[in-house]
Amino acid sequence: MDKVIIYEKIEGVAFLTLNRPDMINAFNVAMRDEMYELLRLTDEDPGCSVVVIRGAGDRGFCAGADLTEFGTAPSQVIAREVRWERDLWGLFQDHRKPLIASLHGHVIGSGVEIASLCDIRIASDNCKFRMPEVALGMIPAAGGSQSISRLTNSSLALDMLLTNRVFTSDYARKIGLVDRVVSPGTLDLATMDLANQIKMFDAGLTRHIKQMVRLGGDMNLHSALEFEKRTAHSLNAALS
Amino acid sequence: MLKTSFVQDGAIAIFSVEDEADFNQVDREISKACDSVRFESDARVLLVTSKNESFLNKPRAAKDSIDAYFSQYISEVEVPVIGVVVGNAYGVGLELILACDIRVCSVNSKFAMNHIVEGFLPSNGGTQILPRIVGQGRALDLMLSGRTFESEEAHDIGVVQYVSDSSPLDEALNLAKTISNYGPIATKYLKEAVKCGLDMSFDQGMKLEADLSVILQSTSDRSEGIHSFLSGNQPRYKGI
Repeated sequence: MDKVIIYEKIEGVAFLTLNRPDMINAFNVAMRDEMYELLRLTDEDPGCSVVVIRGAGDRGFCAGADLTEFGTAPSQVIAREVRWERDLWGLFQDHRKPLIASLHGHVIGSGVEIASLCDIRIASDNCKFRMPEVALGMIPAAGGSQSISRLTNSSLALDMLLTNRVFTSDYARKIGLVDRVVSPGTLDLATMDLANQIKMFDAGLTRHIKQMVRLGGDMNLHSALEFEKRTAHSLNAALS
Repeated sequence: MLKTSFVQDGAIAIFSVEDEADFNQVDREISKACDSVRFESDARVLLVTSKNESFLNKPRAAKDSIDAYFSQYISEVEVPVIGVVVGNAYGVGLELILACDIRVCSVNSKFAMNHIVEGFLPSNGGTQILPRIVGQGRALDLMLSGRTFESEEAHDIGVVQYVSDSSPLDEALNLAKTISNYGPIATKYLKEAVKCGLDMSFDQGMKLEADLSVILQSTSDRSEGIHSFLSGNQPRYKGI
């Protein structure tokens, strides 16, 4: 059976390709498990400088969670235990390498959430972003209520999360949900260029920049400036 | 003063400021009306609008507003709140709609955070909510200059999410209908996850989202949502 996530490493850039193209890469339990292993692998692999997450097939990056696998709800106690048993979404947050989401076509539900947990989002101009959870009686559970509001603001996040409406690539770019928009034919090339550019830099520097931005975002400005100063001083001392 | 009405079988509550003659009385009435929507109604969405061309704006309103707390009352409402600017939103009027979650205006609407022009400070969330929505630099520009800005700029910087070229109220009602057809517990929990989550560290926000998501698994609305999706039927959410 084919792997539900294809893993390739090309000159220091790891590509994780969601691979259920006939289901627009709907995110299922098998994918969750493979993603968990691959994020740990790339985090620890000294030969990997940057990670790209993308989707196979023409139709889109990811159509969201595979609802056919949402059976009878387990007890809340078990559901809560399972959630933290393998904290996949925490791995995104703690990953030491820059994570790039390379997006095309349908980007729905957990597809948007995976992209929003990455560090940089590059999208082809044909994307359709949509968060359908409340229409299904649920809320996002892969960080969508936290990541989208931090990339945009509370009103834009609530508009997206409460209405199930489609956001285009251009609108997503305008509000900060994605960082770069390119034509569909150049997505792979533009993603590769970005990854290659980042991988030229010292791995310790990119790791610390990422950490400073992510952790600093949770601090008040005074503490964050102190944190930045200390991190930079100790790094610069080590380098000189 | 304030007129409260309900449409769509009580699913949508509407506050309309009818007369701004006594601002502090309007403030007290918003407090009472918020309580009645929260504790005595089945409303799934609240709309806040004004019959007046200039919303709440009168020069003396800025002075009166020092004792007003409407931003707090509105932000305590658990269901999604949509602010509808039919005419303009200046000063206290802009603060009133900034307290809402999602905002709709007319293409002809004008906006200003112009307290400073009258010699006052914003005291109903202007200095706190505006920077969180548009960023610190833009917020200081708007508050220190008091300049008037048009609907297009309001949309570009996230002060409004929808600009209507016919009827902002109709557009807001359609939006409210859409949201009120979704799982009502999910929409409330989602708002809690986004709004409370932004006051927490990212990790704490992730935990809040996960806990709310786990609680939702015990609702029959969630099963209704998944079964409707898989069978292709329209879901009917009961809020249980």
